[in-house]
Amino acid sequence: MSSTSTMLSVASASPSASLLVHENLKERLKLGSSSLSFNKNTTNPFINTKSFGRISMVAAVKVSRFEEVSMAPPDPILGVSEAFKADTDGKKLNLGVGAYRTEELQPYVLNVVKKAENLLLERGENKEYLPIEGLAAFNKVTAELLFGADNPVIKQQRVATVQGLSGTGSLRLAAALIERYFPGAKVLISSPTWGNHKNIFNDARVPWSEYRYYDPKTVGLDFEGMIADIKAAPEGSFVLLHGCAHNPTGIDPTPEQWEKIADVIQEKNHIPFFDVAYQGFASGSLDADASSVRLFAARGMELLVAQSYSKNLGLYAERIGAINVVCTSADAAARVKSQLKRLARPMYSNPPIHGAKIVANIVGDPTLFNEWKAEMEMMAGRIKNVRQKLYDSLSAKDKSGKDWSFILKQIGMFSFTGLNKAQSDNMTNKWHVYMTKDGRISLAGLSLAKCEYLADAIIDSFHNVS
Amino acid sequence: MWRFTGLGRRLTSSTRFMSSSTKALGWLEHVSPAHKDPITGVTEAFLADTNPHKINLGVGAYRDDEGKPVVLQCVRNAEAKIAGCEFMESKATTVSSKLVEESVKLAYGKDAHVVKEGTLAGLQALSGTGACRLFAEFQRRFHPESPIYFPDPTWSNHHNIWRDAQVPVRTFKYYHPISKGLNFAALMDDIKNAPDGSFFLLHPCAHNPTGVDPTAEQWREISYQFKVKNHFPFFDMAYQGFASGDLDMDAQAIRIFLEDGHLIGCAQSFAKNMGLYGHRVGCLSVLCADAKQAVAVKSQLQQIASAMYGSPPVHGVLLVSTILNDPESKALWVKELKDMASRIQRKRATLRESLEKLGSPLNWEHITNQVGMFCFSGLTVEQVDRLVREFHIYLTRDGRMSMAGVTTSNVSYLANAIHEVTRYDQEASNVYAQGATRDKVQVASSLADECNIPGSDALEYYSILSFLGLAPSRLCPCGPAFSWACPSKDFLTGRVLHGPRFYTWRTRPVGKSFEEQTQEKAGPQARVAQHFPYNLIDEDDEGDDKGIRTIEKGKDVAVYQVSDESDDDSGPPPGFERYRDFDNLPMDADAGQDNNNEMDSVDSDYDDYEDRNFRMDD
Repeated sequence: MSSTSTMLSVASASPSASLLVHENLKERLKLGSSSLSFNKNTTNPFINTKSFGRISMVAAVKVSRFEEVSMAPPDPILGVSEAFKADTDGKKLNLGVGAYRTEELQPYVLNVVKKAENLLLERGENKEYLPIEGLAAFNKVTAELLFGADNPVIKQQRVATVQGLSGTGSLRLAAALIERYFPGAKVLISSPTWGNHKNIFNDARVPWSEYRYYDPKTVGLDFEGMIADIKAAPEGSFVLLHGCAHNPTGIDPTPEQWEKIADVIQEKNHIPFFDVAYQGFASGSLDADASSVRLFAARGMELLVAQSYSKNLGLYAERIGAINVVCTSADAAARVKSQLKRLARPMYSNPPIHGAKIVANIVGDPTLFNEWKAEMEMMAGRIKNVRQKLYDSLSAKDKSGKDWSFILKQIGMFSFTGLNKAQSDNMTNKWHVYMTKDGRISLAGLSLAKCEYLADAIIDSFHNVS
Repeated sequence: MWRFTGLGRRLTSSTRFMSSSTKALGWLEHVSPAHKDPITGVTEAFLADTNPHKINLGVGAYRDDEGKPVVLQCVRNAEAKIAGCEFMESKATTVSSKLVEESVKLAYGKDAHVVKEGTLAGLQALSGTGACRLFAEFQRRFHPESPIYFPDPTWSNHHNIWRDAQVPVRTFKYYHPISKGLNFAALMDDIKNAPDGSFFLLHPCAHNPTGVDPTAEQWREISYQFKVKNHFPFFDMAYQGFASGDLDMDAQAIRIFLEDGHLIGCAQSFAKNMGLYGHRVGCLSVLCADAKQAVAVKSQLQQIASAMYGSPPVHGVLLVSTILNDPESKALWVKELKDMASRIQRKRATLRESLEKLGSPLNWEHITNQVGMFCFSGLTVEQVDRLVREFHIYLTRDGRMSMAGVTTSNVSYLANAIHEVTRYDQEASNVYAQGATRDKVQVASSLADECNIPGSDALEYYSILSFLGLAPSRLCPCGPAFSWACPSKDFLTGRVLHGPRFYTWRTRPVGKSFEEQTQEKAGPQARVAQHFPYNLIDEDDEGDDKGIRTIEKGKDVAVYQVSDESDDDSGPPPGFERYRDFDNLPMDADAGQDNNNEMDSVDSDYDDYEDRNFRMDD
């Protein structure tokens, strides 16, 4: 950030240039408004630069304010996709991306979404700004979908719902709310968790720490550790929970365990904070996947719930979701909503309209709604089939007697294989199976036909690489 | 270093811990309602009005000559084209980079060398706001100490954006309330006086809210001075093509800076010029010294975005890139954009003409001199209130009129109404100027001499006044200084800026001395917060955040601190006694009245003045 180069060029100013300065300044003198600048300029060496005309300035000064900007670390998942693209092997499999694929491993746009889009096109609606809180029709249906239309929290208008940019945007709004109204309050996140959770809280300047969740020995839930860590956290912490289909492990607590978690959270005056990214996509049932959230709501607790329609409606790139804050009174909900709006306003002013209209049209129309449920069951069903087939293949092929049943206990799009980094590298390098290095595979990227191949790869990596 | 925060927020900060830790339930009870957005209030009030002549000049979205929202034909065509398109998450990135490519061509010129050299770090953003926020976050990450300078006034959400990104905010002078044009001399002074290497936000065309733009020659001067000071220009270009009807013409400021070899930041929005308001399409570009730096900057911006909202919404991107990538669609867009801009230009001309025909003695040149969607009319709060009350014409109280709301059928009604309300005020100020008795009130003459100050000095403080919520309502009777007039039953009080100080002046009933009157009125301390809804926070920890600060040029602002609780009864803060007469000010439309009957946001183009934090220089 030095101006050395500028000064050097000034020093070499030619006599003819100085003459020009003079002319120039005389002209400037006539302008009453710049008389001050004239005084300054006479003592300022930079004036010479001016005299060359603009072209010399271009060459002389290029002092960047961003010299110290370093490369941000690449997104690990994006890196997986890029490496996959570069691989020319016919057997290659991309199990890194968290997006649904058909049995033919092609991206899938739900029929019901196409129908809703056509409806929008026919109606030719205008494109005016949405209110800061989002499309009213969307906010209504999304809260009802989450809690159930008859839930007391809905009837008593205790939920502050604000449309967000999918899960990430909704989480960020909630994080900003925590930062502003609970300064110093910590968010507890599971270990491991979706990588972006940490980024979101870091950028929102919310402190976080981890609670134990995954037990590598059982490839299951470390329930004792989880409860102990939640108990040990300072009173009034926010506990981030995955409503269903934990990302990346696919391991969910049982209903009994959820009850116990709720007990501890209540006891410690913590605030439950749900990330529901897969409602309906995990089990195929919207209600079953929301049961954890509803269990907490039924206890009369206040809670935060971030929703996303990326997976269950396949609206990934439309960025549609919501943040719901359950309060103790309608009045408090109104106030919280007003503050959420205040946080959204300087972030993006108002949310995108297209995805919100699609969701509102689908959920608000009984025919489309039923069609959606059927398609969602189909998607969830395909993943369940693949999961079963993978388990069957592993059990049949692996003669070591290892118990692979944890795969069946996991739920949702992902399976945590328990493979370590070296084993995961082997999957990629030897078997052309692309996955994140934490051992997570996306079953959405797997077809029945490829299950046996994948089983071979896993068995080889598990037994032959340490 | 002083920072003002809205009172509501300050209040909550003192209590939030208590309520969150004492009991599980009600941990959100301490969250107070946020200030409402004044723009939406305008719209709501407009909708509730049943008068057939009502006009909405508050909204910041384009309307056709029937006052209806418009979707451009090129957008309709693009929509049909992309219908059924099998978009997916992977495609979104490619489409998005195309959009960035086309956007920067619009801003920097299609043949600009920087476009080809790969020295631009470009990222699709959530319209103008999202682009500004990304840059603000980026600025905080790499220049946490550097403030950003905004023109005064500016789109009020700018204050919110940089405040939430925790970047210190300053202002530079811009608007000249008397000429209703650019205060170029003061602007240049502020640029010179800012520390070297400061960040400046500039509106390259159609300045919001004033509609006042520098000329090409003035831009050159500004660019030159930026070069000398090594300032960083950040352009918020929300209206490219909307001001002149010509995309290149509206980008001339950027081109001038580019030519001068500046490194530039630029926020672009397709909300207005393509009418894609709700689709949130925009672009942030940062011109870097070389391609390597551009890659690094882009990676950082991307990381900031991915922790804020992930990726941008794809639908709007598809629309824009479909239009910009196809020469035929693009030509249609350029034509439609020109039509929109010229409709507004015609309405400006008609409105000014109508006012002049009505024989208005005032100068209305600024209506046609200003450009873009808005006209900063110079109407006072009282005049705006009368427009609303008596004429059913709705606009924000700072006098900003959205010219998009003016149509062939309502323009003469509007001109009549403006003439009516301004005529009234003309009479009133004549009365004061003569010192004549009106409602048994006489202007105190003692300040007549004091007020004999040059106009430019007064203008310097115009910005301070307006930021304090004390937008000057009329000219001081004694000269070109500003005052805040506040009529009560038998009183008229105002403030005058003179030299480095505020002077409070008041009128008195005939027959009583000023002193007598003061004594009579020395009642219980009024709640200061009603008049100044701002707290002064002592940021440099000198412990001197209490007490009134005398105004000094370019330094402090005359504000005082009230404690966290606004119903504090511990008496005035130290030094406040000197300004005791201020306590007796009645509530006035002009003052910090909470905009209860003001609205919730539909047009999110404008924000409440209440809701901003503000930092001033030490």
